[in-house]
Amino acid sequence: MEQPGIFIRNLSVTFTSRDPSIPGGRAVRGISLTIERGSVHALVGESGSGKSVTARAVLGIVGADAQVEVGGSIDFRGKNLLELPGDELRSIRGKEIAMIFQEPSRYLNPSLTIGVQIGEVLEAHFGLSRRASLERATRMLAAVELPSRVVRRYPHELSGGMKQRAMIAMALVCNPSFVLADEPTTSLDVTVQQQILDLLVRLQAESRMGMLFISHDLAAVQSMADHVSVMYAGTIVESAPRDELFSNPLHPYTQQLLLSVPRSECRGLPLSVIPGRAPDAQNIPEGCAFHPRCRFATDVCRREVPAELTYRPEHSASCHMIGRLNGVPE
Amino acid sequence: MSPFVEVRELTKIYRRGGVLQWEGRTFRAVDRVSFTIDEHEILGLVGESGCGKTTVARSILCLDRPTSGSIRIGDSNPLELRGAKLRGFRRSAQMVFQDVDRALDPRLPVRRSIEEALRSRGVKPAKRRDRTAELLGLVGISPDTMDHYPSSFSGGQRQRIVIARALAMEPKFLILDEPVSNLDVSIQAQIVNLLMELRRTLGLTYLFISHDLNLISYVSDSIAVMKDGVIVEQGTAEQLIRDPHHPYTRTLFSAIPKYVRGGNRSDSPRS
Repeated sequence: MEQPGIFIRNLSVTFTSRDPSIPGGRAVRGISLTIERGSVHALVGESGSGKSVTARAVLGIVGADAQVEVGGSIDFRGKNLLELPGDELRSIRGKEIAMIFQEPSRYLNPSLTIGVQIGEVLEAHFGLSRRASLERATRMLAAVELPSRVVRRYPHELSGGMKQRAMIAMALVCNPSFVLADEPTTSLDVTVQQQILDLLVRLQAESRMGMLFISHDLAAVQSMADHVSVMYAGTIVESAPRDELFSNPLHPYTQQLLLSVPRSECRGLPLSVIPGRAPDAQNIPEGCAFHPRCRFATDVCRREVPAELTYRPEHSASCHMIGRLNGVPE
Repeated sequence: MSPFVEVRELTKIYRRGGVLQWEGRTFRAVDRVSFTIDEHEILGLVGESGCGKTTVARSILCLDRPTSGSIRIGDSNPLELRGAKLRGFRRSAQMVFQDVDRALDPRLPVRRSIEEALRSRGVKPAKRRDRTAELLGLVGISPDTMDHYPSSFSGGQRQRIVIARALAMEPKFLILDEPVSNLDVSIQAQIVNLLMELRRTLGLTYLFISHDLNLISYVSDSIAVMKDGVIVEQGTAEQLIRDPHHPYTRTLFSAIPKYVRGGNRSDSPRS
């Protein structure tokens, strides 16, 4: 029987240094989330909040360096991915769970044609012959709306949008049940961005994949996600179904983030600003990590880490002040 | 009152490919672009990358001499200037680039970077330090940190320092080329607010270049939409947002995933 999702439980990732005087970087600090088959879970946050590290931990590509400590569990089909031996993990990585990276040009091999690169994945996972895999690669390129001649093209002959389509073809050629998309449109032009988002939504719906969609772009998240988790300084501060999160954000960070997006309706008015900047992983503030930037912070916020509480069906947040703030009109 | 910036029929043709003259093909990066910007106003120039936005900016400052056309900024016509006079003109019109990491010399403390700018404007050595502190304060950087190197500042802070250095030249006109695209959302808002405030307090005029139409429609007084080297539509911001005429402007407006506050998107691909 097929398990319906990837269950991340209390995941933590700490980067350590051989030099004991340098504090460890706590990139991810105990997060839990579920990626369900057939739905899109968006992870939104500023750079350095731990979004990409989370995705990499799922695929076991963050622990390749001995200087990393990974804790918690990631359950997939009844197994903990974090404890899986290398060869078993390799048979899952790319085949069952695929990843789409932010900068296609960094992840495509410049000296191999697109067809050969997509074919390699099939050769590795299914033992297909070169010829059969090239044939499959061509069909996959059609699925991402690229002409078949791209099979013989090198990455430098393609535009940014075409390269990202080729990346997507490579990620999805094994028909994975889950895909982790790490800022898939960030390096692309606006009009191309929307095309890629539309393509991802279509492919995800057609094969009922589960998707972790990582982005800092609130508009893209709003157009893609079924469920949204907001990350700040290595923790999830708020998690809710998409419409619930955008229409009724509870955490002050989420509220401020949504208000700071420029829109034509507020021309002439200053943008709402979150003062200061996100802490780096080596200097996470005591108590609630957001308290130095939060205008509602009180003593308890400076002292105690807020617990994650559920306020509405499927809507949880970690903030000491939510009870009080809900009585205060915005 | 005549406009502060006046650009007429600006054209930039690049020669590409081929070692021999007759082999070379030409490429019109910018094709007969005209626009004006009134004093203290912001013109938003929007379009996809490769459409010629940055070439327009570089041509205006004569970093790349345009093939033809005319430019007037205040009382100067940069195309007629050479040598020292051209350098003098460039001081009065500054540019802030997108790539914050490359804009500052990593081996110089930020104080030196800004003092360098002050020196080239002829500020006396004795006055440079105070003026640097003043400029940093203006952009919200603590003057106590002026001896730190760029690497100890965050991306948002570095962009503030770059803006301070541009202001050291006491420009009347600033070209902002994607000034916030590499920054996080919450930091973007801080920099945008800073730029809007500086315009108000210092009476600056901006050419604001971005691919982000949400941002452009927020900051601009008027907007010019560029595609393949040509301005396909321009008008006041209100007019263009309310009633875009050119098909490309319409695609551009519908293409951006527009974040709608508190509610469902009707045009969401998922609903």
